[in-house]
Amino acid sequence: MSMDLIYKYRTRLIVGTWMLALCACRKFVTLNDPQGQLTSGRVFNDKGSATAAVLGLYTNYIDYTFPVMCKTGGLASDELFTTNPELTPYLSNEILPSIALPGDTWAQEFAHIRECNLAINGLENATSLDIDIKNQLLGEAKFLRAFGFFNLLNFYGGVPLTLSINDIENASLPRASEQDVWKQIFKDLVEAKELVAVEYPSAERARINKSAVAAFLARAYLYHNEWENAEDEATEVIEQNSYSLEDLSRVFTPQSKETILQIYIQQGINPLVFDYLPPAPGFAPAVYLRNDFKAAFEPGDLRKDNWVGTDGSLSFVHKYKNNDYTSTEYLLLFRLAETYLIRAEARAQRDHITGLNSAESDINTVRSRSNLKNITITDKKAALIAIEQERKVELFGEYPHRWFDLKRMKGLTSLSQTRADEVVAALKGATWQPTDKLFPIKSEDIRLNPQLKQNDGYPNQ
Amino acid sequence: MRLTAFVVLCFSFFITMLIPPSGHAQGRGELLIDVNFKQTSLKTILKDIERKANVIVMYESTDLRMNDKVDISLKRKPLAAVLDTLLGKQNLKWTLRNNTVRIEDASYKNQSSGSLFSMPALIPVSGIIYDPEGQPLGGVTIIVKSTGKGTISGPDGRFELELAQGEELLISSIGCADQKVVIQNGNTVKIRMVRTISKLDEIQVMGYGSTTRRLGTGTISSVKTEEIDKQPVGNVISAIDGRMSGVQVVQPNGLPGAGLMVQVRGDNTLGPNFGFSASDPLYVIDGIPQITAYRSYDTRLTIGVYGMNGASNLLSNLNPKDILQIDVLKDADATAIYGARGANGVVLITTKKGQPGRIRFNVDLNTGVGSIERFIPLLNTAQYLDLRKEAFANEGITPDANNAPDLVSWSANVDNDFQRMIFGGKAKQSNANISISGGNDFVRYYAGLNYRKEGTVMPGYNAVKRIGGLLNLDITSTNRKFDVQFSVNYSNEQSDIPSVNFQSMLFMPPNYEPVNPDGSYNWNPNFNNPLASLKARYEAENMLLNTAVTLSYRPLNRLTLKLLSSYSLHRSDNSTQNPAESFNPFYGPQVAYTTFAYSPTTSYTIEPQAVYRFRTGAGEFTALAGGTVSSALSKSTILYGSDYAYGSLLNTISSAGTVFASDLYNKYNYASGFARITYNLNRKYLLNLNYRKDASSRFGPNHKLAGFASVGAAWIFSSEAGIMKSLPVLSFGKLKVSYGTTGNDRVDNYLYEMYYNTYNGSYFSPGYEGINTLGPGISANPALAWEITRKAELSLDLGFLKDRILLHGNIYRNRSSNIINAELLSGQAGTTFVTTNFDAVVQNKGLELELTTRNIQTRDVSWTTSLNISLTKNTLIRFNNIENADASSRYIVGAPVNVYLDYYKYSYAGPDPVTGVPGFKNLDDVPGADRYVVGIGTPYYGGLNNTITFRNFTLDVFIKFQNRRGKQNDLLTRVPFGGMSNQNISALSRYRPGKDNEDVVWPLAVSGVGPLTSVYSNFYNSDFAYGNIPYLKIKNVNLSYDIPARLINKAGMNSVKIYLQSQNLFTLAKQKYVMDPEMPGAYPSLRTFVFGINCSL
Repeated sequence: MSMDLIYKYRTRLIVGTWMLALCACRKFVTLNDPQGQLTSGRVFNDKGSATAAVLGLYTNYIDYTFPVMCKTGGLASDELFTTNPELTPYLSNEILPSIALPGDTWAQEFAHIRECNLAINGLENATSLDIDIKNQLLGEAKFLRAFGFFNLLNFYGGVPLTLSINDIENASLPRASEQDVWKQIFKDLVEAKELVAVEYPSAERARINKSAVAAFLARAYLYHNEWENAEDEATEVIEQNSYSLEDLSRVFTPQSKETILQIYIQQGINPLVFDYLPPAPGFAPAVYLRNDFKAAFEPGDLRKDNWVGTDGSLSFVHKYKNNDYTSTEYLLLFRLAETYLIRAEARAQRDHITGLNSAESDINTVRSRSNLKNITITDKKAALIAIEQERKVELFGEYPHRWFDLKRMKGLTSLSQTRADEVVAALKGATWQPTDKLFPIKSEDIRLNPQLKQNDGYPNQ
Repeated sequence: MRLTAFVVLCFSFFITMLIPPSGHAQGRGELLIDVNFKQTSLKTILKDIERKANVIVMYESTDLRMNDKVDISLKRKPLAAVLDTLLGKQNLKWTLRNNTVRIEDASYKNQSSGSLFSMPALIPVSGIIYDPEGQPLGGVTIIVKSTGKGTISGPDGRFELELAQGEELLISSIGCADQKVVIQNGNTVKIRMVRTISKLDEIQVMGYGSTTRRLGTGTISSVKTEEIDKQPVGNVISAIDGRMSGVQVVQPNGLPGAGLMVQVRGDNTLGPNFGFSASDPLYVIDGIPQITAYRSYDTRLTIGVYGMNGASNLLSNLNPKDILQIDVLKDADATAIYGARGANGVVLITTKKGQPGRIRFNVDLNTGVGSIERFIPLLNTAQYLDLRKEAFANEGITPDANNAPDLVSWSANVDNDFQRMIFGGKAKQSNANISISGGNDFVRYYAGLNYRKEGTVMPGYNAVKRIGGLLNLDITSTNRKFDVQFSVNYSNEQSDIPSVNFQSMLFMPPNYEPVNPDGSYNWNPNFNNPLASLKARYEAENMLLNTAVTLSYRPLNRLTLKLLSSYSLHRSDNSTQNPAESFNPFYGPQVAYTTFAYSPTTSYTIEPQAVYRFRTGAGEFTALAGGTVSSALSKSTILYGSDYAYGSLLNTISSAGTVFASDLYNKYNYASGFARITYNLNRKYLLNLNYRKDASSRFGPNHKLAGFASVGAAWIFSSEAGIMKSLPVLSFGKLKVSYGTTGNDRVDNYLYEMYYNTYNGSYFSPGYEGINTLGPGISANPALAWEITRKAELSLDLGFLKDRILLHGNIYRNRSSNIINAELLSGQAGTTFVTTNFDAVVQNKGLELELTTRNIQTRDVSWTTSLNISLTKNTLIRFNNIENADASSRYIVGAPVNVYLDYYKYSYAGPDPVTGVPGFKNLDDVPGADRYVVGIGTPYYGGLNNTITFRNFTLDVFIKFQNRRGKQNDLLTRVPFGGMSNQNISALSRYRPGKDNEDVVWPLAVSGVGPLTSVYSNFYNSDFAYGNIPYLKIKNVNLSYDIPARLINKAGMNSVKIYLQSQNLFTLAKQKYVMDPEMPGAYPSLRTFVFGINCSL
């Protein structure tokens, strides 16, 4: 190439080399994944890493979220008591949105939902994952997302439906209606039920199978007053041979036959025991049972002996036993006794009150495990009262069952009220307002997203 | 492969751009050019030919034929043919020699001088230029005075010109005095340049080149080896402290091995505390930009594990005696060539190179001792116990063994001085430097070996040792066209010092005994035991290996091609070892643990460059084009070991019972292309244009590339004859203006993409069913882009009395925008923030003055003075969406960027006359809070240096002064006044119930156990202990004596110098209650005396 030729085409050469250099630069500054970190695309195209990412979703309930839900729900209802000044606003149902709350269910559940969204998106776009693995994992992620929305819905009402993987987009969404959130929960659960396997994917009952989805669907249909669906799903679980009511002392062990879904806990760090059990004899736990709670048990109810601990005059939730860092107990999310009580309530609502395959028979199944005599029920109202009572003493402390029950159940004196308006108002007097059924959204979250509307009855800041 | 392709591409690009057609004089007549004119004057056409063929056309300017209008249309015809066609018709004759075309009237054949053409006959002149050492010197500008035209010498120092007898040549070269040569008869001239004595002509290193204060268009401050050598400092960056305007050295503490930082013209980002980008300058060692994979430079070496001396950085690994000079680039014109990395200024460090000539062998040995210059005057035991008793009495509380062991259990006859017990020792230091340098025309070398050991003033064995070596080799081919520079710098720094900060332990009750009579430690729940804390150790080994090769090739006189390449390895291998007995048993179980961190960083940089210099007319162009490809990889492995069964093997992870491990990985790639054109017209008008296109791996796919540009212009008005005539005292005057943009990409890596992370069995992330789970990381922002700083500057340089007085002054304004910080997201996003660019502007404005005077200059005595002063103001001008920014409550529009909530203070109004509790003024700055923004930062700072030589004696005294704002009392802590902590003697002036309390300083004393304590929380957040702390430090004194040559020559020595040096000799400060006003609350810088000898043979 002679110099003159170069000179003649110099403009083209300069432009050409410049373009090539720019391309080279751009390529040079485009990095591979850093060591120890993977892009979503790589995570979900490999069986091992995709599973590790979905298992990460379960761990979200190990740390704070779950105990906070149990504590705050229990305190807001007639179940738990505390002297901890951080928690007393829940006790008096006077929660201020401006004050930072211990363990923020709102933020924690949305963080969990963000991870579920990322997993669902990653799995849906995965091309080289075995279809069985992909379906199972996708089903688990959808179930867990529905669980997040279910908890949010029950604490806060209609929440923003954050389904995108774009955090900034999600951050500015307005609230959806309660009905739309329900739709999303059912959509995820129905899809999950199609996707997951009948058998548990691992040796323990710590991951989701078809029965776990059915148990959740039963609970969701019940809360949504779809009695027939609730009964069907509950029956589907109960008819599985693998589940049976366990001896009371073994209900919360990892080997329990009653378990439908547990969260795996590494030895020693079951988060519920730290709040429920006295740190040492003579020291009150963060939250404990109200004085009158023990009176709710009928004489001879074995649950009182097995599940209520006593330290002096104080009684506390003692379903999980050890707080000495050696606990091997998992965290129970769904178990057969609740499913029986769901079916009982659905049957009562469908007026199958007494006799074979009735509300009464399901209630007595649960009662007999606790060494209680069978009861006979004659009308629907009595059935519903019996079910509420049975749920109270069976399910206390392990999930905000009581708080959610009081909020959703119709009042006994007036159908326009809920049981919360009757029970909590009677207990706490003037500090109770009907709007207290929903917790407030933190004012900081509203400040950062002006689209967000505060729940009724709370100041906007 | 990709890289090679890139380098080749860059080179081909430069060559194609820079090489003119057949750019050599011999064949210029055959050079093909196009000429196409209609009815155009001959004069204009010849001008066009001058440009196209790069020749100088000379003719008799009175020749009327030059105005003749002619037609000519020739395509790709040789120059000779073009000239024939053009001039033949006009009956003009032409000759071509070298690059000069002479046109004469053909009708006057064989004419010489005296013809109708008054143009003198031209004679060819060739010359060779030598540098002061006698070596051929290339790149020298040679100008014919009468025409203003000229040439540049080749690498062999040679030049050729045609000129008339008696013409004067002006010869100038950077670093040398201008010379004038009148050409008489001789066809060959030999010129030896001499070094300049004017500071204006000293070499300043700039980005990709060098310049002088006289001819530069950028603002650069320099400190040279002579000044560095006079300071017995361990870190070379200390040696520039106070000596440059606009440059502050940020020193975290006075311990050896502490990581020092340079800050140029203030914080351009949101500050070190809450910002998401860093404001470190770019460090360039011998032309190689030092890069790190972390956003901030000081975290480069020590990751996760720190000793008492804090985060280290590679600058502490450099040997000050190996440094030739440090130049700091400040304005847009000087920094824009570094584009995206130049926003925070550039620190250029140049190491010593060999000089041709005899072999120089130099040995420098010194030893010295350092101690604390000033202690804070504290209450003695009697005064302290008085204060304590009074505090209890004030609240009606009875002291007992629990709430007041100092009053009840401890002896009142013990009077311990903890300041002197912990910091009262002598820090020994010793240094040894050996270097050898020399060479000839073709090989030059500098090799040095150094050792330094520096102790601390604390009890026990504490020392930081450094051993290192430097080799610089420079090889030139016999035809001087090819040059290779090779450099290896290795250094290893080992620390064995305590790991904890003792500051809080200096002020324990004076009657506290740290050791019980039985020899065991005396523990109590109120504070740590200093002797036990000394057992917690920091052991570190920081290693630096820098290698660089620079290849230069000059295919043509005007063109230099260069390829710089470097590889660095910086490695930190350190641990903090905490034996069980170092922990206070009142604070928890005494469990031994050790943290180990191993952090290697490797980086490489490749920079091809081409420089093309040429003259046209009276002007000289220097064109530079180049590229950078660099990559840094930082890794770190951190091991945390606990449950050690015995304390004697804390220095190994193998004997730990439990181990947690974590690792870090960071990669940073960076590439760019840059160009600069400098135009120098008659050494009177200077213009400098920079452009740079950068690519950084830290931004998203569509934001990786960005362009930066600057323009600088200067007018040397002292070159205007008229001005010089009217101002005879003025010897130099230059007015300079620059404007441009630079960028900042000092943010974390990988922010543009969301990654899943794994955790390794720590109990924060337990895993699930035995599987280590994966979790998504922080929110990604693919739109993240560069911070941009726009810099504007106006400066004036004046020289008086033949440059004996030199004054430089400038005003500047830097505005940084597109500031990177965290934007908070509403909780429903499931993540708390996303890193983003804010529409925010941070402004740094300032005035800088530098004055140098040669007061006396005789054969026996000389006295020079230099003074610099900087005034600065930092303001957060705008911050849109501040309410969504992370830590939004901390930034205040209109205040400096590092004002955050801590600097909102209550205004202390003295004790309440009735109750004695602290009173505060009513203020409205923060509604309802009675707080106001106290001043922070450094409103002015500067330095004054005097150097006096008398015969063989030299005395230097350097004074640093500053007005900074900050803590005025090291002792005011969260322990209430009257609580179990000693206080300085100002506490004698305090409110006492029932006494005359006029003019007392301190409020009522309280015990710290009573209800009144809470009243005092505002007191600790007040301006009581906060304010201006102006100070003046005799930072450095150097006295040296050169032993007369006649005494040492017999011993074969060339020179022997003995010297006494002192650092931080004396501090004059308004505030007595801080140990060191330069760094309140930290281990102070020591007053050091060093005695040494320097022999050269």
